[in-house]
Amino acid sequence: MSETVARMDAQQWGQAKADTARQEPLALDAFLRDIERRALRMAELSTGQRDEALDLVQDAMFAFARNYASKPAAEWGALFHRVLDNRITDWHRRQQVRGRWLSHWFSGSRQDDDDDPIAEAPDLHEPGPLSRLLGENATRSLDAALRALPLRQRQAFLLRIWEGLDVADTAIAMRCSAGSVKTHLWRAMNTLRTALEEHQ
Amino acid sequence: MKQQSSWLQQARDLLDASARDIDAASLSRLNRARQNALQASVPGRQTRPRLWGAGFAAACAVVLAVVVSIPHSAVPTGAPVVALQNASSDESDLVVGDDNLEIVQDLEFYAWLDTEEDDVSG
Repeated sequence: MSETVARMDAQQWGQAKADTARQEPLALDAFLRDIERRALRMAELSTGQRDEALDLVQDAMFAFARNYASKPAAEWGALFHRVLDNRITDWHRRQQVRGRWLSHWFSGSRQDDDDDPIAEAPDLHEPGPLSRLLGENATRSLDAALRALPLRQRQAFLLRIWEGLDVADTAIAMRCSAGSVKTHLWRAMNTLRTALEEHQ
Repeated sequence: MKQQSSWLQQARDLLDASARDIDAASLSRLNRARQNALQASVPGRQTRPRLWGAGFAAACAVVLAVVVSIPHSAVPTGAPVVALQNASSDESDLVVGDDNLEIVQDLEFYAWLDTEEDDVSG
């Protein structure tokens, strides 16, 4: 009798394990499908370019699926953003190095552009501050304010406020302490509020 | 506090809207990226076996190249055994068959006869 029960338990356990293995790709697909658009926008806000952002998200998806798909689904959010944050940080480092070289070679032409009085003249057709926060312009104003933030502040804001990660998961994603996350978020919110109030 | 949560909610709504309005070409690329990622997550579909296959093929090619490049003249073809192997089956029977032992014993005579014929014809 006990042998029969034990055999049934083993069969049920094996069946449950097989079901889990079948469902895992579906769960992963649903997770990536849910997160991909926000991930693309986050990368785009950091890079300022859609193509670069798509490359970063593609790399992050591939690395995440290969290395962390076997982790519990509850941890996927923080782990995916950790991979993506890593890619974004690396991209910024490469851009800084490239910018240093370019500024070294083309510093003369930049100085000419800085002194252009036509480029610095106010645009008479520029809409007023109130209309900037209506419709399309509101999105542009928010995008501009977010892009103006330092990288770590922007990541803290997007992960906590938009993505909805808690402080601990945000700290995992950003590879820093919970205290640093709170500091970055506080500064980001103050800067953003000031920038958006100026537009109103 | 309520005012703060209000503008944060507004910011969240704007970001959600921008994510909803992503163009079709970008969504297509995202879809392809997701499919590639899903393939990478399936055990046994890694790229390593392909690398092993490529390595095996390269090793076979190197071995084949070495075998082909060995000069055939290095093999001693003058040895009696090899000469025997190179001969056709009829010639072998002529030389080593039990019925033709007399021919083997008279090889010197036949060699002399051969040179004589060459001299006469020449």
